Amino acid sequence: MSKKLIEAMADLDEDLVLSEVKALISQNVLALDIIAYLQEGMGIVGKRFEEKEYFLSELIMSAEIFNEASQLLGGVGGAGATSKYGTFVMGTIYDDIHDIGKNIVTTVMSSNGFNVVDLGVDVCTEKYIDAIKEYKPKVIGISCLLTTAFDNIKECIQSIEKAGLRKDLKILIGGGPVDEATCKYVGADHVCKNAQETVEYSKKYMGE
Amino acid sequence: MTNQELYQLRLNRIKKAIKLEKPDKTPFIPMGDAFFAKRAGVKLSEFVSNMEVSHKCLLDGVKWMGDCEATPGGSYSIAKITGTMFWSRIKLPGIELPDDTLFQIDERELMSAEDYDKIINGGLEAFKGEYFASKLNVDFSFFDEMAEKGPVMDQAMRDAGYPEYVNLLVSLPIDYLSGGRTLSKFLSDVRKMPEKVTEVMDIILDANIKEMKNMAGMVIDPIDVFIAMGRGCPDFYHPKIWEKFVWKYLEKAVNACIDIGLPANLHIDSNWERGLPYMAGFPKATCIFETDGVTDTYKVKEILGDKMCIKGDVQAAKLMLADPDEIYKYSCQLIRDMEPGFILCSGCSIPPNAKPENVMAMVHAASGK
Repeated sequence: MSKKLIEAMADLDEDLVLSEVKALISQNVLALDIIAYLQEGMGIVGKRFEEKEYFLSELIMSAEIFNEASQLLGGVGGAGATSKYGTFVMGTIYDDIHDIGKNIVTTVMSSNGFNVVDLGVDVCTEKYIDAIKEYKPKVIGISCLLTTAFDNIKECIQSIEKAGLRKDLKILIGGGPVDEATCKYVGADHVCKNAQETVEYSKKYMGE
Repeated sequence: MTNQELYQLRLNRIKKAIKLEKPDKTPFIPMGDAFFAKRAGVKLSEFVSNMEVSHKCLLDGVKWMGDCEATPGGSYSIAKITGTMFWSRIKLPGIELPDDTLFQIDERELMSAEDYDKIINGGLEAFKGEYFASKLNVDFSFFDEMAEKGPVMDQAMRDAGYPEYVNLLVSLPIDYLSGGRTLSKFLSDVRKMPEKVTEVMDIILDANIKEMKNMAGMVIDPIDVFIAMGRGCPDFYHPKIWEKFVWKYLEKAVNACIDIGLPANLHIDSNWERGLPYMAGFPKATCIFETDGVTDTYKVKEILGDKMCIKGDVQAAKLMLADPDEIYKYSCQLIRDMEPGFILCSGCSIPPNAKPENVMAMVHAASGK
């Protein structure tokens, strides 16, 4: 247990987090254990966010620090075996290159016990389908900041259905212009207004 | 009525609404440009790369709408140089993006932490010269093209009877720094070197205010000064950070507008509810709250309704997904509940895939038809 790393992560002390991760690696501490410490720190960040001690600025900062630290360990995907709830796949739909919101959601999901597969931005339908086949997630997220990409989400969801992959799969959407009417239009299961809502919905569906 | 008379009538309607008075007709001012390209059957790659084409799309667009009080944000597309407003690279349709998609900001870290020192020690203009040339994909020849053709195109809009709602702006430092550094790195800088960030922000805003005041004497019939505020949304920041790195500069920028007798058009993206009590301190009729609909417009009316004009907020998704009847009813409801001191507008830009009949439903609601 590295209380120092957990507290540094919770306090958003980037330099201390990175130096402590390096120190633990040099001491041959398992990468999965180090990720678990980082996730515990992120859990505290989430709690402080809910209690309004932290704001989105702190959540973004924590995401950045967590990503930098996990890069030292070979990326967040390396933490897969520690996931409590299974795999969550997410990307920003094709023709849209916005990534801030997606990154916040993926990081918060990682810190809450999900194995997150981040497909990136401008993600084509085939890439979503391949990821669903490969990782067999129960929930996927599609991010979108442009109304011009609504039809792309719709096409993507229809293609997932045609490929016979929709059964038992919940599709969440989110992003600035997305609302209930959009959700209905594109055929998604739920619209998430923030990262925490994604966590709560996914935990409920994936069996807390 | 001649176009010149119409121009004056429309200008007066806008000014009355800003003064929180009730003009003879609710002003309707659309925002956005890509919709007008799509309406004209022009690909967005052509629209952003050809000044004449974009001008024609916008001029034809306002004529098509007819009963609107001003241009949808300018006389031509400035996508090619938008990167200079966010210190970021822009991905353009037909170049980095597919032919008929919207241009988008490519958020990457282009500015280093050492660049703060360059600005402090070497001056802002020297830094911008080097940074724009080496880091941004800015088409500098477009500045010459704007200087040559822009005034003629602006005049063509006026000759057609349409004032320009936006022809002056002052950018807040947070747009530049959070764009150049990325939002996450900027927030890291704010934590690690707040004094240095503040020093650079002071330099940037002073320069931008000076430039805006110089420009104010050169443009024709300025209505307001546009201030983009998306990156400054109070929901993003701890209140202490927001007060020090956003509010302080917003307040100074607004006061600079008041100094020259022009209202500040606060272009609000995202939820600014926590910022409303701060804005209530501005003198009456010195600002326009231009909202995308994410901030509860009724809350804005409750807190700022007797202080500033509200402009908005038929949201982009509605304009794409709803039917004309819904848009008409929503627009009428806004007019009924928000006047006096209201300008009907799309919530941020009209998206290129908005239904034309939905756009016309806003026009009809404003004109009471």
